[in-house]
Amino acid sequence: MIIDGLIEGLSNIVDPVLLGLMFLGVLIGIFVGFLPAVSGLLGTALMLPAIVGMKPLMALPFLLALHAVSYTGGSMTAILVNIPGTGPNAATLIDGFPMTQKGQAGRAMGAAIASSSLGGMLSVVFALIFIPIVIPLVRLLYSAEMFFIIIMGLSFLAVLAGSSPIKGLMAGGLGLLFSFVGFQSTTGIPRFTFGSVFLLDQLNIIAVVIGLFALPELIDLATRRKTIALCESAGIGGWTDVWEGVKDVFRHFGVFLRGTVVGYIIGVIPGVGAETAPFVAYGQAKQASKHPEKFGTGIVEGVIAPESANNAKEAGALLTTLAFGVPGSAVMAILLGAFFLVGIVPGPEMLTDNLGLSFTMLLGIAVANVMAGIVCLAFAPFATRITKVHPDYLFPVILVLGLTGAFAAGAQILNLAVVVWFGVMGFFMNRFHYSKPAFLLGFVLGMLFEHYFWHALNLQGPFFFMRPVSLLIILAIVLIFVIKPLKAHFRRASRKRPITEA
Amino acid sequence: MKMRPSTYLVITTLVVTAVVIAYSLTYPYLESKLLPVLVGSILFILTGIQLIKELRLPEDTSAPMMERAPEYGLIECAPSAAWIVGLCLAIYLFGFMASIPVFVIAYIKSHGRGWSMAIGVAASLTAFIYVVFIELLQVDLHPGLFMDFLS
Amino acid sequence: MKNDRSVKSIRALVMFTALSALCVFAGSMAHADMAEFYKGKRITLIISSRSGSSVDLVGRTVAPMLAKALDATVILKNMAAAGGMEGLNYVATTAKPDGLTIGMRDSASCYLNQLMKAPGAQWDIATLKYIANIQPSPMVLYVTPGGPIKTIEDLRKAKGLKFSSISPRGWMSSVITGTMELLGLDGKMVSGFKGSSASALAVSKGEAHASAVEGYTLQRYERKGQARPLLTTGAERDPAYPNLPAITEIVNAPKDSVALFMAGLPSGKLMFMPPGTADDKVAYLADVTWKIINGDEFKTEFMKRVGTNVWKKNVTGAEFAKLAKEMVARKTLGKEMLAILQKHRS
Repeated sequence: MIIDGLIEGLSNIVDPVLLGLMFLGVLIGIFVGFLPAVSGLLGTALMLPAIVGMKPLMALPFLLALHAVSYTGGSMTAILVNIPGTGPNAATLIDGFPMTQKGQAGRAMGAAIASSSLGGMLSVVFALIFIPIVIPLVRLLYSAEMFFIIIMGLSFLAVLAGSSPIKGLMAGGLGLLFSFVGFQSTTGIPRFTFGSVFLLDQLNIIAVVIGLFALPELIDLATRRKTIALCESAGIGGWTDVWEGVKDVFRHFGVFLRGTVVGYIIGVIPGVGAETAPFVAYGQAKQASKHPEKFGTGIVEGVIAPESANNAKEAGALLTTLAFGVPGSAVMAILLGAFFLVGIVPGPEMLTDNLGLSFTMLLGIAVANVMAGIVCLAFAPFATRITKVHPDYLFPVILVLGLTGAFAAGAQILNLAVVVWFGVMGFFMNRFHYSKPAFLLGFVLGMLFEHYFWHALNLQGPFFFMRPVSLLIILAIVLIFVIKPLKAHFRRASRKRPITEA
Repeated sequence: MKMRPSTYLVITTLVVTAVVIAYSLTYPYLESKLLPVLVGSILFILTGIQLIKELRLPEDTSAPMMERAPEYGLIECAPSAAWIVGLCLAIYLFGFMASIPVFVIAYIKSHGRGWSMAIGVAASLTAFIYVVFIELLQVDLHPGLFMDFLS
Repeated sequence: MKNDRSVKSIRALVMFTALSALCVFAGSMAHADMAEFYKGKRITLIISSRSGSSVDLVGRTVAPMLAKALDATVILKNMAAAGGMEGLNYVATTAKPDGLTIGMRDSASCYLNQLMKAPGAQWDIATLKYIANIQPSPMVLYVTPGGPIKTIEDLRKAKGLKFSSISPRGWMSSVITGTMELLGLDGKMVSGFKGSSASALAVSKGEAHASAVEGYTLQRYERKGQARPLLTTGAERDPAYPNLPAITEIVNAPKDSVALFMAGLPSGKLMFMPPGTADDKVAYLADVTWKIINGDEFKTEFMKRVGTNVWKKNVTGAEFAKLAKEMVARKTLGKEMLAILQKHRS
């Protein structure tokens, strides 16, 4: 039956009209992704009226194509100007932007585009292979397991902390505290809102990220009055540089593969949040690296890891959204609405009776990623020229685009105040070496951490961790964070011994 | 014992954290106060340790690899920060479409560049924002308090 | 004498006929005026919910039909911030009462938020103007399929029940705690699930024992094998589940019981306008909308999009306005509801 579905999906996807429509979706997706702070969310929501009356086979792959590749566009903005094009690109700028400053923008973009596109394609393969087992596995995840998955994500704080663990943890703790602003999910009590209706919702992540990362960089740029690429001698990153980045993905194939797997797995789990995947992938790559100290200084692995996870999570997320009707992210919630709008009711039968459509969508993601890869690679050499524009022009343009994007993210004027507030924080965190990625990880996971903690406690009681799956996850956390230091210890020990033994 | 600039930040964090803990304790239900108090307390302890470290140990000169150290002092950064805050205020008061061209022209001109470039960049950026955000993405860009008041 | 009386009554009849004819004429004149007013205008439909939600879906179904009927442009705008209160707050406090702004939200949340004094709620349901409440429907209680609870008796006997629910003071929580109170159930409600489908997933996995949702949504969950319907919490049986008893059939509660009110609360997609909107505009829009939402085109689209085979009665704006006033008049209602919610939450 799966083979039948696959054949049906393949024959659907080669329809030239559908391919044309998807290409349009890809172009829109890349464009909104590339715009600072404007995500596929806005693009997808905007296309909803357009799909009314379309056949599901046309409408759904079109929307998915748009959404699935917006991160590829977003990675370029993160790398070039230190503003994530979309929320989940925030992890990309940790190493992407320093590469640009070193004059390696082309290479970073090549690596980002290739890893996100290839990751997106590879995850479709995973999705196809694991269709039969994923659904029962996801059903095993109770709130307790979700809680420990979030803990696993949070434990990467230690990895992102930088050279001073205390300062890193302080930054992470601050991030957690800021995530508590707004309605508490299980009681509906508003916290730290000071009577403001605006603060009832959680702080908008886009506004936080723009403030934290982009504003200090813009201040620096304008004060320095020199182009983004610090080395004057560096080329502007032509084709050869971009191609070098593409080759980097294959040089660091392990990093890419693990990033994709992490992205796929986190995508499959509903309710972990789209922003989590790239951070975990980044933390994991750093954790597993032989030279973790180089992460953050502009190395290509730091770009490959989050970007491979970024597009990979979509194929996973699609499956669970389809099967359970529980959207994993805001965009998936809109997509779910789109399903209803064209008369498709999601449910497990999507993976049995409606397999043809499901496979068309999955293959659509793969095809969209190929298209996005080609379009972005062609565009990248031109985009890198931004790094050679003088700040006298670049500063106002980026600032205006960033602020407009931050406003558009929630159509709330007070988001500008959020941007400024976190801009000040980011500025001082830069000066005194507090890890901003650690802050962001705490911020992203804080609400989920609290939510799942109370659900686990209320639904499963105080011994919620005594479930087999929970224990397995706890074991995994211990292994990740004990094995590596142990291995390092033994390596150091063996180095002290005579060389003959080696 | 010498106060460094970073120490002021640590002290501020310490005070803010204490306020957060005290504030959190006023919330009804254990569910809404436990984690803010817990995370706040951990943060308070960490900040305390950091404070003692900074007051007792000599400044660590090894800048972490995560962030690049800024090369400028506060005073030198102030003008660019002022431009940013100014733009935000202008947008708040006069809206996006009015503030953007004025800001761009003012910024470029004040940095000694020619009129043609200033107007060119301002016009194209404003047009871009209009087409993309208002026409294509259909975002209702904030019209500004002042404009609201007039209409 | 008799003759005189009949003359009188004939005269009265003539007068009455003339008057009503005048009224109809004036009414149609007014309607013609209004039709002229709305022609080519730009109407904003504020959806107080995120895009893709069920309110949004119904809004997107109604908007083009409204545009066609009025020969106007209808722009849809989602304002979902502040837990879905943003749009309603906007319509109630900021939007101009020029007849060109219509709001839309789940009707139950509109009055529950206000009665229970939800932080951030800035509207007053007694002053808003109403166009219609589309397909109001009560909830149906469901349990884990294949689980130990098969009947209402099982439910009553069970100890330590866990109900999953979405927003802590929202419609679902109100229905669940009202039902718990009426049936005297032992257990607690765990709220905070993100959407009714997440709540249903928890029930289907067996993580929670039961939850509640509108009948037509439950039909979907049941088809997926995610739920076993048990009981209609409304005053009457749900046409989607004619075999399930309504809660009034199994408990004897006084008519003004707060728990009964909470459990049986129906919710539809409420269309409303800013306070102070001219009555003739509201009446005209209500009239046009009423024709649309009771027409075959809307009915077919609605049933297809929410995936149901059941069609219920719509409620007019005037009826809803009356209901809203009654509710606000019950001064202690909010407090009593909060007490019941409080008693059964985790």
